[in-house]
Amino acid sequence: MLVAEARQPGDVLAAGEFGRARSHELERTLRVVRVPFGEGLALKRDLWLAKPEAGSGRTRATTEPRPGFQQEARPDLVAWRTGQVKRPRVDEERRRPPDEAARAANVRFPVPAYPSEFEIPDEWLAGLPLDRRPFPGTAYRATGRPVLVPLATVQPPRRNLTVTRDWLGFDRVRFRRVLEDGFWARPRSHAAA
Amino acid sequence: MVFGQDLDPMPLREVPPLEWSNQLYTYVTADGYHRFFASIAAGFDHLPGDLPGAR
Repeated sequence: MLVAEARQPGDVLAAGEFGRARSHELERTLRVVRVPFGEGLALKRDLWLAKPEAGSGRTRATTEPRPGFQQEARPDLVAWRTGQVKRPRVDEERRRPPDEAARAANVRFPVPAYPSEFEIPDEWLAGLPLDRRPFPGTAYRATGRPVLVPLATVQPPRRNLTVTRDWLGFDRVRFRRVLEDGFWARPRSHAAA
Repeated sequence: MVFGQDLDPMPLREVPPLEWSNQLYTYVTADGYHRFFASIAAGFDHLPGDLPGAR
């Protein structure tokens, strides 16, 4: 039966160094003593009531780091904890394309109402008037009688990581065709002119 | 039209509201991956949806 416990560094344990530490740093300086069943409570009560006196042999736990257990400093994690950089993603290596220079040059778009952003290669967007933004509250031209819904209310569709295609799940020909057909196309009345 | 023809609307399905939950999205879709992200790239803030019960 345990007599006393040192719960935090700096706890003063009983006379004769009875007790047990909760951490290795404390246990290094203490001595674990087990007493027979039935005698622990009385002993613990006496130790609890006793006041520490100078030179009585009581031990104060130290906060010295245990040698050999020092972890190597991780600059990336330190920078993350201090808020200097964003938290590293687990699947960052898997998503990273081989050409880092091309990735830095790509255009990135934030997804509304979703904490992420995606990027498209520059050559996919070549020849498209990116600087010409559509009016607010509009969508691409669709067939039939569609219902206009805000884009932020639609959950972004997901692609399995195994489906890589040309670029992060995007098909180049299809993405280009979607942009050319639906987005920068003029109305029918202007087409004949 | 300059390039091609109109595109099909996004097949959407409305999510029933859940009680005691912070529901972010009203609609979900299983198709239209390119149309969704191309809309963002083009700068649109709306999507033409094909809702089953809207017709």
